Amino acid sequence: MIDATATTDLGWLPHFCLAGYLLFLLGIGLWGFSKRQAGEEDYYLAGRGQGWMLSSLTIMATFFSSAAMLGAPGMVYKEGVVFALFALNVPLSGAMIYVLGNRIRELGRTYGHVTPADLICSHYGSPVALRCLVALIGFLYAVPYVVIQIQAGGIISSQLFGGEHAFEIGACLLSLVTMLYIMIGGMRSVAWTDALQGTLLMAGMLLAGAAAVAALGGPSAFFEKVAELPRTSLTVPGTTGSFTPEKLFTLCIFGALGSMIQPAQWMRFYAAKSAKALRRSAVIFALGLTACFLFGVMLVGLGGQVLYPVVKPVADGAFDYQVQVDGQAVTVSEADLPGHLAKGAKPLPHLDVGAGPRDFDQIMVVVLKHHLPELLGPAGLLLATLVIIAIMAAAMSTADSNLHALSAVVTRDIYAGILRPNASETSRLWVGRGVIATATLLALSMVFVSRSSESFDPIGMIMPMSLLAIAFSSQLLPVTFDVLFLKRGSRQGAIVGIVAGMLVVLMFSPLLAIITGSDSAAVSLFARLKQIADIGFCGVVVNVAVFTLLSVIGKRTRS
Amino acid sequence: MTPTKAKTKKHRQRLGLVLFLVFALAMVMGPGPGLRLVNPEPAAVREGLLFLGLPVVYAWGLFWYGVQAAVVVTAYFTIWKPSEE
Repeated sequence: MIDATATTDLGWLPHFCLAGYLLFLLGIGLWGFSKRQAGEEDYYLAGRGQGWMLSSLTIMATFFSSAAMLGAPGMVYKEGVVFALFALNVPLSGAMIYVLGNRIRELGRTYGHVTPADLICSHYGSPVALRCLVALIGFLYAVPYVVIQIQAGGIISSQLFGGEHAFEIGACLLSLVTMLYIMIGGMRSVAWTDALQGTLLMAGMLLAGAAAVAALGGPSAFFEKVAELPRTSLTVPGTTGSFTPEKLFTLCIFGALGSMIQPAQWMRFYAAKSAKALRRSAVIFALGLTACFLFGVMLVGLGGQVLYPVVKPVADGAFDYQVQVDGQAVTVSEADLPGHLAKGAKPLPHLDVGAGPRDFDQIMVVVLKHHLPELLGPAGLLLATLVIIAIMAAAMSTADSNLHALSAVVTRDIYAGILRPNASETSRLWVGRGVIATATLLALSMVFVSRSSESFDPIGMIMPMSLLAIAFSSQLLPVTFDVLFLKRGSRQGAIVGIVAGMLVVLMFSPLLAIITGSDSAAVSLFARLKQIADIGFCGVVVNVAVFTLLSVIGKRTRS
Repeated sequence: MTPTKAKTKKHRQRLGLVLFLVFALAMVMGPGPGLRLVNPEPAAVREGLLFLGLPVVYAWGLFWYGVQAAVVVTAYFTIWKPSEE
């Protein structure tokens, strides 16, 4: 087995590459500014003229965040091969780009819509209540997503540069550069930076997978060593028992649908030039991106289990695990693991990867940093740097799209839609820029608070946080399908259904434990439910039931 | 609508339904309850965890990815045709 402790110093190369990359992004921001045309539609939708190449890359870059580059390999490293199957949500997302996206594009072009609320509220005729709710969902999706991208920037920086304040410097740099180029150039800059970042991250994902396979001696040796992993790493429901097929199924369905109707993607559908742009984007997305997942980053997680074992072999083919109980690392046997996990113990990664339960997310950077230069010498150093910059790109491309969408949602739906309907276009654009700056600083401060406080950690690992954000955006699914296909729902049904769905999702968030105490019966009930199905699915079930019931009652009352 | 156009529309609808059902099957079988059909038993021998040298769960996922990809490509060339624009 390769010596996992043989760390390789990447030297000054990452510093130069990263500085060059960030300056290049700012350059694109300035270019976007020089190409601007007067008006909100140009700032938010780049004049609805994006072709298939730009559309597919910006949709992919928005979809793939640090959750894909750090969170997914982190989950495979923690849970085993079962989480690799989560990649099968990507073809569904791809199909939705055309099935939902093209209808959204057509309606947006006909009626001049810019945000999701524009379309939904014009259908149901609800200028205030529904608009506020849809905007709130946009906020609840965008803010956590921006927070986790900033956190990812910090993780990469601390792995790359080390030092006491590397995390803070990386997080600040990522946020400020992203904030600047969106404020300067709007959608045009965001889309072009996304195009660059999308290309980088697809190449980075495949390269990372190749690096993990090469580090273990090629494909045959890789799978031979993977075959020796503990049984729980190779079977369902995974190491912690969290991923039953039923849960994985609901997670794939709602992960795919929820992330495709979040405000940033919705606005990309509006911005597409034609149906052809979305049709081609759908195919590239479904085929290419899933391959990057299955043959790229997922293999890093599996290879990580071999290179940096989370278990210690003991007699008779059994294994011991390291878990954290009350802040202390404890060794437990394979047989006792489920019992400890049920009592709140958290699995720990290999010490070279990190010391805390959330450090599983670092496996990607650790594998690249330690093994690529070792395998390929100076070329490996350059490749490791490029992939690490690709991870940064994944984080920035999602953060920029979400900040930009949030700015449109707050400005159009709340400021101009409710507070000041007669506001001039110039004042709306400046409010939009103010929203971007405020949201960035808010997200940055949340990352720092979470990092400095031991008792208050709303962020945790990257993947669970992303899934919570997707669960909120999934609550738009019933009304979206109704508006685009069925056209049978009522305004009251839509409003109450969304509220009910959001309340259910909130019950699964850390908020419930803060309000009722972590030992309460409600917390344990929702924790048990969470083991069975995806949070978004639970919310959507209640949402659909209420929406249907109220729509039917409303129809009968009217008739 | 001419009879030929009506026939084409009907054909597309039927093909759309078939593709939808195959895709739904891939979702249920790949990452869904269908996984139980191949998930090795706790007492299975180590060779039972593998298929052609790959973890059986991973190989199962790759197969259903192939099915999903085939459905999307077929839809691209048939029911999402340019005539819709």
